[in-house]
Amino acid sequence: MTKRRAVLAIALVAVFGAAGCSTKVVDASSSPSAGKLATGPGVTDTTITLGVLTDRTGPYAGLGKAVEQGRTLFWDDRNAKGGVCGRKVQFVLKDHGYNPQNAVTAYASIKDNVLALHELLGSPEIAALLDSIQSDQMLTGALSWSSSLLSNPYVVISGTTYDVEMINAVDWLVKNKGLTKGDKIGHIFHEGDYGENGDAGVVAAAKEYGLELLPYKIKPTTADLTAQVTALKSAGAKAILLTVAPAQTASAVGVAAASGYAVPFVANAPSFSTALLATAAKPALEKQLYVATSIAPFSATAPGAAQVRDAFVSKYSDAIKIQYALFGYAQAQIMAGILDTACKNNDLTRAGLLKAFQSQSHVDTNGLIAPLDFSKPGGIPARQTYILKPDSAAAGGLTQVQDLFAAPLAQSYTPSK
Amino acid sequence: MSKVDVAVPVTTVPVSPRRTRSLALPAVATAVVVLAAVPFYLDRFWLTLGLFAFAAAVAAIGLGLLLGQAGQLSLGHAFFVAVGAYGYTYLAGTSRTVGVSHQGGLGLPPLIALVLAVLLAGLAGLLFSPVAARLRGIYLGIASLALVFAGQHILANAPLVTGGYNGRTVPPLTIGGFGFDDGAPGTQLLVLGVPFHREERLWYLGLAVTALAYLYHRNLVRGRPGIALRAVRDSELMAGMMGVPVTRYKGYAFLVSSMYAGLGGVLLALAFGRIVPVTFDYAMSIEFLVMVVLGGLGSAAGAIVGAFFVASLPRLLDRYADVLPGLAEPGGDGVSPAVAARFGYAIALILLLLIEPGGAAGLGRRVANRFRRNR
Amino acid sequence: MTQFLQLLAGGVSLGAVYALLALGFVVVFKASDVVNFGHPALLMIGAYTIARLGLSQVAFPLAVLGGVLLAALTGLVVQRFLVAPIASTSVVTVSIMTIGVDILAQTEITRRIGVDILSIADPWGDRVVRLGAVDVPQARVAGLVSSVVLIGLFLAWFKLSRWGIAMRAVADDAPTAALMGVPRKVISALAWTLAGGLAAVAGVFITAFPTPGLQPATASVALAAFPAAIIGGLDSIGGAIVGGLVVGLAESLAEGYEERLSFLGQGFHSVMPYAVMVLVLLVRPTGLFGTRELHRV
Repeated sequence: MTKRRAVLAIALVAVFGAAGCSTKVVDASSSPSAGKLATGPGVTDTTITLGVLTDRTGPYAGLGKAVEQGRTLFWDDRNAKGGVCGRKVQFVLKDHGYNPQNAVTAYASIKDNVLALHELLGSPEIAALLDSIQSDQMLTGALSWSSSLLSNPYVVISGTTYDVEMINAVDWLVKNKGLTKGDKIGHIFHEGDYGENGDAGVVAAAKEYGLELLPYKIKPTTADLTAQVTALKSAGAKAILLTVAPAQTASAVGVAAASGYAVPFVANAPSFSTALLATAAKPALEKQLYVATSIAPFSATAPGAAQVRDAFVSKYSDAIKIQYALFGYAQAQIMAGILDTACKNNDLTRAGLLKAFQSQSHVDTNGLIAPLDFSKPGGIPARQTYILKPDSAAAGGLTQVQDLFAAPLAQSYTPSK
Repeated sequence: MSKVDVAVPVTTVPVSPRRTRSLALPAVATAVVVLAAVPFYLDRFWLTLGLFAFAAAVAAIGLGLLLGQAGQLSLGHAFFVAVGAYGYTYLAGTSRTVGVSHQGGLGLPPLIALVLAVLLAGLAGLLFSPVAARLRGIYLGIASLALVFAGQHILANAPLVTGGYNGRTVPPLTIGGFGFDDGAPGTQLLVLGVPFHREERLWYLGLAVTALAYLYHRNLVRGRPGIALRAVRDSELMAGMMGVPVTRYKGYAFLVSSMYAGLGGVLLALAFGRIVPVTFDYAMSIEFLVMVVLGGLGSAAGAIVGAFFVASLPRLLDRYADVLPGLAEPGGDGVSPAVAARFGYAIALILLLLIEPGGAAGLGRRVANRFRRNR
Repeated sequence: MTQFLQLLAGGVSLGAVYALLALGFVVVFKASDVVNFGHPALLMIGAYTIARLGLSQVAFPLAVLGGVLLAALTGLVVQRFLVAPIASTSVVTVSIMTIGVDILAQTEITRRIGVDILSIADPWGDRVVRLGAVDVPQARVAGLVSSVVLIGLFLAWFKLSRWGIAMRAVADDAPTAALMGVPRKVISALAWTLAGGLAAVAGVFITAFPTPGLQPATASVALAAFPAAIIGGLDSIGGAIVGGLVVGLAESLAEGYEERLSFLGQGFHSVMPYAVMVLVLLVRPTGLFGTRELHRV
């Protein structure tokens, strides 16, 4: 017994004594960064490292990959042209598998090595990291368009938020599909931040236009929307809004078409995917669905969209062209703009990035996204949306029905309790 | 005292005290010493990994008690963990509005909130136990799964408690004046020259709580409650005939295991710093089951090993998977490092159990036997 | 009233598909005492194979056959290499190993599907059958018919054939059955193979209209098998059918009448099958048709 205790004691002393040699020991003196350009973590003389926390093995793996394609397209091209501030931009990618715990661990592993997070995918993951992002001053390109994230000044949302998309959608329905005061509309939406944000917008719009709202909340994994569409048909809803996943959109629209319920459907951007046009739901979608989004379709004639289209086709000729590749490209474009501005200010630190971000009052992406204004912290960055229509003949599967517009309520709307 | 020596399938714990004492306790003690030194050497990634592992370990010990000792299959462990996590957050948090999210809170001192949260989880377990008493085997398992789905539903519809889908901040724990957080801005706590931030401080909390949880479990298992539970597990009828109040002990098993789960939940909340409702889902319950079986049913040390395995391996594989040749480029087709890491984890799980169905505890027994034979 | 009938029709047709899933789950449990957490994986393997074959212009019946065979083979492989070696020592361990199988299969299939939504290329498309005031998708009618036929065949086989009786013997009392010469491992292999095949067939109807096709999230539909199997009673083949129907109806009605149920919280329909299950268990602790356990003293 005594021998064991002695061994234990020696071990303890050795281990803790050696702690003095640990690399974690703080040096009393730390050298200040030299030169005119102030730099933060992840910045060397030749590279800038940004973090990417995405899903590569979970339910949104395909989406994560598509965004990556867009991002790679942009940065390969940009790095070939010299990068940012004479430095190549490189990425550290971590997969969280759509699990918040993994996201927190992955964040901890990369946060000291990156200047900012180029991409953070997944509402639960973004939610779990909101505090850390703020305390670490980590500018984050969130792959979410929920206005509830705006209370955090470090979150970069690349487009119009879901609630404003829905407001514009309702406005368009009223002006173009004959909705009048007293009509009933349905809204099928996900439980979770995405769906609830869309719901907030629909509620506000319904109140504004005097429409009666019939809400149906579903789980992200619900496969069959027959029950909800049946209920809305019985109630006589004149239009249905969707804040759901693509397969669920196809289910809802398909069921409606099959039962002769010919009302228009308008969906938030993430509710549609080009992949749907290869399924049996294609005719129904082309006939009854519209998509409200602030990102130009692949087939758009604007120079920004054309550029992406050409680059995509030449690099990923086999891959299916979905909107998320465009999102990835658009987000990269915005991040590049922020980095460029920070470089011009000679301040490539995290605080510098935030200042650069908040100084951008008119971000023009060559027509790829609606014009963005980041200068009002906490404010919704863009208010305009396109209305698009599925069209299997168009590249990317969507054509424009209505050019960028913003309803009066969309202009004045602020998220409220 | 003791010997209810049952004809043993590999999954039960050998009751002979001397054999277990000679291996498990010194092994655990060594582990504690090593782990106590970790914050001085390893960076935040490892510390965060460890914090989650400690939280999982405490909860896993509880499930091990329920499944291994009392023989009750529960797939609802995530529910009790959620009660602990959200209980602490609500009790210690203050009422406020963040953006569009209104959050309630009682603002109690964190230590009291911790204790109350654990008791609350235990109460939930106790309330469920009459249902558990009526059901057996996999019926109980799937019925307890209902708790998880009910829990998710409640969390989704109680934004005042949960802060909505964007979650809410977890108040840091303070004991006496000492805060388990980064400390006041501008100050720094230096221990042996190493700055102690939130993760370093929480590490010792996790270590201490896990060690205590282990010791308490050990005590319980060796004592009369343990014997009674095992009697109930092996044959309810015989136990009843021998005077063991079966229903009461089943309730007791749920009470204790839920309290463990609640404590694990509080640790989890502290490790996260900010909790979101979707964390406590079906997948989490399954993970706990994997931890307990991997560790070896009935063994607390095994449960800890299993917890560390399940909580850490996927992350470790993901971190180092880039070195493997032949993996896909970013955006390209093929097997990405993340996918390879996930395959690795699943294959490791299957192989480990194929080699030793008794889990880590079984492996430990094999090693101990060989060691003893060679003397 | 129309809404109610429509929801009823939808619930019953969906329930028939759940019954197939529950049946596969119950068969494995009866024959080997293993909780197959990998049942969603069998579903995905079967459905994915059928979808891919369909996209390669293989005729639908052949594609289905291919998927069924591959899923059945997977079940057999799992039984042969994971269940058989370990089952004698610990079924709990085997159950956990099936989780590993599930992770492997689903990660790989998720990787292959990516952002696609794979149509199952069934011959029924989006056509509906009009029964009075109610529209039922043809695919669902086919699902109901297939389900009834398959389950009927299975019941008959179970009750009348030698192998069926052998399986019942193993489920009732494995040691005695072994003493009487019933080869437990063969029965177990048979059960797992059948489970794979049934899951593949269920997969066809889960991905047919009104769903656009197969995608990674489809796997979670298989989880409905758990409450369905329990409600029916894990001992009872017929119970699996009833359980499936109950779950399908509960879901459909709860979804359709959501505003009336909103006092229970929005989105209650996802909890509904489990709520019904708990209610059933409180009254009958071994499910509606499960054999009540008798304790012989």
